[in-house]
Amino acid sequence: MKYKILEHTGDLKLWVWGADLVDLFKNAAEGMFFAMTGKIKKGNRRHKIIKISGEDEESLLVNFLNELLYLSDINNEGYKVCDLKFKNKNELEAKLVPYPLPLPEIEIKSATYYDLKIKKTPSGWEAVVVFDI
Amino acid sequence: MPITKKDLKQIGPHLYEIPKTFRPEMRVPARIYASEKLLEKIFMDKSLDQAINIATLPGVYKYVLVMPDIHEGYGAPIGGVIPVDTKDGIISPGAVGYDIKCSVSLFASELAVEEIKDQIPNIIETLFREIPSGVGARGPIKISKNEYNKVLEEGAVWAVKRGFGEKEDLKNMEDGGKFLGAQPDAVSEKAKKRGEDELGTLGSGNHFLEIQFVKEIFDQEWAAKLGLFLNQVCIMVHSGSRGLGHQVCTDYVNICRNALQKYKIKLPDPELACVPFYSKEGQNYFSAMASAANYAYANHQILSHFIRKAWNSALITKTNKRTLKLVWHMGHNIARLEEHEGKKLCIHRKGAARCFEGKPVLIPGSMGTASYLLIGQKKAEEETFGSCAHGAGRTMSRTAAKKQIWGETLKKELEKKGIFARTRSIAGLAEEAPVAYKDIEEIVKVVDTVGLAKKVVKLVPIGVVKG
Repeated sequence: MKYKILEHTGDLKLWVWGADLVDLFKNAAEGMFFAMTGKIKKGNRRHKIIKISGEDEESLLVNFLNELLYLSDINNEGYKVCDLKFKNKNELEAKLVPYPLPLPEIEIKSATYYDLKIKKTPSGWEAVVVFDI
Repeated sequence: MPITKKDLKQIGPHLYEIPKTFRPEMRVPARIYASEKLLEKIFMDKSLDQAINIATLPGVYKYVLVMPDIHEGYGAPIGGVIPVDTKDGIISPGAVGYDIKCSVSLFASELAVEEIKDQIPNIIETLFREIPSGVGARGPIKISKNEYNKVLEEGAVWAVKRGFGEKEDLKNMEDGGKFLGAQPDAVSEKAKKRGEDELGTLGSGNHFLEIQFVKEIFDQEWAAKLGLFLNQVCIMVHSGSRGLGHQVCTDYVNICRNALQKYKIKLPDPELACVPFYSKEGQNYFSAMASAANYAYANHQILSHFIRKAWNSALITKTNKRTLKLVWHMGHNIARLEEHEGKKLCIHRKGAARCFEGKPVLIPGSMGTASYLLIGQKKAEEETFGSCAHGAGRTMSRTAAKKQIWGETLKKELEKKGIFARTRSIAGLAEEAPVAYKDIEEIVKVVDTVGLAKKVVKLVPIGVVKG
């Protein structure tokens, strides 16, 4: 399992796992679009490259997810993250393959820092992200 | 140390306090308005931990408050009120929330429910067709870049100039429909991009449009003053600043988080990221937030124009009773500069309504349940910095609601109760099921009994468009 939606009274709480940080970030993106549309899609449009910066791992993850939300909102697309590289501890580059966004069931306003923890575990990495919906 | 009921001190009827000694970082106590029944619900999530967190913010004044509809959010709880002394205090985008100036409007028709009851399904169908709703909905109007800046500067005032709605509407809106202090330059290009084609859209989630009627009158004098009568058909709308507001908050949470070290601010939760009110970042956020508030005002005003148009086209009546008069429009996610107790305070209200003496307060219930119009009392100005509850408040997660209720079944149950519902997402309907919310009657009882606001009318739904 890559991610699981947890109970939260008002918002969306996503528990994500990954073998490494790259995997964790890719799975967080997939989990977010799955929570939004109830579907997992493979991209079928021309890829886009995005560059994200952040003060630390947490802000890199939040900024990465929020950039996907922004692009999704203005382009009406979902994204499969097919490649992701950490340039250094404050920067990442991701290759996104867009797909037409299926009718979303929920609107995600933003990824938040609330209760956000990125942790190394014996089997890899995990994070819990709360989204405002 | 998790908070328990034993840590609460009852200091009045339906009023409890967490003393500031509960946690060393607390600068002020946290006050909770709730009945015994509501307290049980409040302890089911982390609402009170979040209430304690907001009591640690720099410059917080006297006490923080939580309203009876409180539930767990992110950073500040939904239903939280944070008064901050601007002299040495902060402003926090996360404590306002992502749907800046999310608001409620109430329109009154001239018709009684018996006159048009059979037409409700058709009117709802027309409203559903004409008012863009749901995720990713695009609005019916296009504007130039120059005009866009005017939207952000002037809000509903711009919309009225452009022919959306009526000048009279502005008198019945908070701030006269224009939030002062807006500066479009403080809003990022990304935020502007997100909002450029969303003006005049309802949105999704808990945003809705309901046809209701006045089921009960508690204060005849105020009802008459506001133009309300028994069995009168009304329309209630709940929407906000859409993607533009979400992006403004996203941008400024980051800006504030990155400035924490510079201002030597330590926080229990990074989502409460804040900066001194009078810092450059703080003033920029206030200007951007004010711009987003104006976007929300313009959005509601454009919505009201298209609602009136749809109402007029669907309504079959031999009379000329076709008007929809705006009774009141008010928001519940905003930070405002206000004077209380001789101090200039920045009052953050996140999921809390402003409640001043002699001003109406709208408290919508969950879908399919009652809503209330109340009138603000002096006591709110004395005790809660002019604040009260804003809605029913969730008690069950959306996932749990979907597991428990089928959208189709709920739609049929609502129809049995005489409520005709239309939505673009049937799963979304289940998420907003009444069972997922606290009992609106209990919330309003607390507000009314304590005397923050007094009940004027109770409205019940007969038609719903859920975003």
